[in-house]
Amino acid sequence: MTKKIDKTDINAFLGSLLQDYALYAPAREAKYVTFREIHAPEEIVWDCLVTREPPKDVFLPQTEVLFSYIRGADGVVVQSNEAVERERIVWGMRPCDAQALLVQDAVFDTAENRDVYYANKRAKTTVVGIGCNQPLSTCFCTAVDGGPFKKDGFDLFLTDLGDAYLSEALTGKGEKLLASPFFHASRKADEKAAQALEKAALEHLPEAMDVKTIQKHLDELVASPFWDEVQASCIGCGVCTLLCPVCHCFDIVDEGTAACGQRVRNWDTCQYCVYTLEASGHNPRPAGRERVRQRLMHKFDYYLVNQGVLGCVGCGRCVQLCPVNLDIRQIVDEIGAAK
Amino acid sequence: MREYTEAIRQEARRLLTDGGVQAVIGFAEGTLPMRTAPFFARKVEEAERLIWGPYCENNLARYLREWKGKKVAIVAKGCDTRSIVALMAEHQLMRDQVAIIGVPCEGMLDRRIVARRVPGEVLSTRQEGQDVIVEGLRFSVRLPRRELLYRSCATCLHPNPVLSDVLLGEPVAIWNEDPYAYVREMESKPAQERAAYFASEAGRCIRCYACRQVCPMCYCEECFVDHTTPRWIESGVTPAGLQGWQIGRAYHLTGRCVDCGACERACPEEIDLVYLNGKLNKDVRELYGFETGVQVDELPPLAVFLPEEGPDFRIR
Repeated sequence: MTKKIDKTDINAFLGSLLQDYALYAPAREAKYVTFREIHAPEEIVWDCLVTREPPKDVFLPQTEVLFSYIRGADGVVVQSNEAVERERIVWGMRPCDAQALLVQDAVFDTAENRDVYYANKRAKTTVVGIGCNQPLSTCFCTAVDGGPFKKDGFDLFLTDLGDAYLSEALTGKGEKLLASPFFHASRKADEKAAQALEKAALEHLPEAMDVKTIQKHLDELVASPFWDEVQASCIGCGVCTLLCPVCHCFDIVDEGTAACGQRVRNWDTCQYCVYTLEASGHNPRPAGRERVRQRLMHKFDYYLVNQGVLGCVGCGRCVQLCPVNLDIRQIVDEIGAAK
Repeated sequence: MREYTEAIRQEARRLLTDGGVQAVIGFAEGTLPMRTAPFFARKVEEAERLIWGPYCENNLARYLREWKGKKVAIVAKGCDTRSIVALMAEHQLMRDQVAIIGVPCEGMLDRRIVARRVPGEVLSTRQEGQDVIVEGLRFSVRLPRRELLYRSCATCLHPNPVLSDVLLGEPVAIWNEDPYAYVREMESKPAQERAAYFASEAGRCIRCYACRQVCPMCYCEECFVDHTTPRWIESGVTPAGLQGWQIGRAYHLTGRCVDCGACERACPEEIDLVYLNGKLNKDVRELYGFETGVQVDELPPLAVFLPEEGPDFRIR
């Protein structure tokens, strides 16, 4: 079902949601805009297309206590942290970040593998998206099978019509929100306007990449000196992976004493030199060459093989934030063009 | 702004032909407005890709550790040459292994300041005298260069190379007399306020270690945060873990940092690292009269013990 909400009503609507839900939205943090929990509708920044940090940690916190333990008179008591008490809404997610969530679902929430910490959060969260009227020059969702108004992964999808948001419910969770009296009927003209916005946005976005050729060339280039060139300026930090909405590697550590402590899951990154360091001292990815290659191969080859989807959603965060301007778009172009 | 591109290319061609260098480390055009990318010209033809401009923001001395045992040339601003001197003082590189193409620097422009001063995405910029014209889809704004400098550049005392094999221009006049004004401003605040500021800055850290990886002086084969058995600080993004990381790195850089600002520029969370490291550098300056990497062969006071030092490590 599709309805409409006027911009003059949106803050009142969001205020009503804050009674029952924890709300995560793009909001100001120091000098930039990022996805975080908000406590007042006025905190939301509506015109930020690519938040500094993606909404990744709403479902996969960077540091998450899995369980804690304490030794008492009767032995060790273990307390799990898997329960999610409060309903949550992620508000204003963009199609690229939603696609990333779907890629993570393919890892953390399948019939064969269900991560209870991730799955519980997913079950308790309503995802509200918004289309991108004016993509940035660093956006390339269309190159990786995405689009500025793609609705996959959302419960409710908004389109900014200027004075109102066209609002389309895609699931039961979305219908629940749409039932609010703040929404009123939309008209055919609104839907036509939304289509025109999508058409205009697509004009600024690149063509789809030739995924099959990229994948084939990646397999062929494994031993190539190509990677020595590409990795030369990479400094081996974790910016690209930690700020990537798709990347989800993690490390599990136990911190505490015999008396009490916690098992903690932290984000990890394949870009750290210690990532594949084994207890024997051997490191199968000993240098930048292997690690940079691995990132490209995982995103554009292995994800396709294992999950059936690309591991890059074209959000452009790594492009914007790499300290040495290593540009994944340029690297993929070079891979495609390689002989 | 001074034009050095042609001079850099010429010197690079000369060095790659008969200067005995395996590569010239410099900058090439970036893929975004206001960006350049570190570039390694290995063949004479590749010298054409080297450029100079107001966005050559990385400290290229960081890459020298990857060329050990090989002779390389490096395009170096004042701060970069200080890092080279500091690395020499720590026996991390030999003078004859590096050919320094010295560039007197007028300061680099802060692309984050530029982005915040205009009403949309920046698509291009160009220099016009002392102004920068910034253009986007529906705007064109003229801004004075001096308002756009990185803080480390605005407060720089050493824009001119302290060491070089060839100097590509006349030294620039120092434009700033008070390098630690912003540190003094913070020092004048009550302790609780300073502590809250540090906690909120450190609180944004995501432990990507971009600050560490981009720094010429962070060359330890095993960083203290990567050590296990035992783990020295909490592994997660908890306040203890983050503040432990920030404080640990700052202390490990005391007397070694050259205030180049590369760390703050690399940080995706825009943490105030120039202040954190600047504060410690100011302390070293006042306690020991030492500025990292300015005098070749000067002994770093926190790395060297001399018999004539008193109990506070100062020379009696």
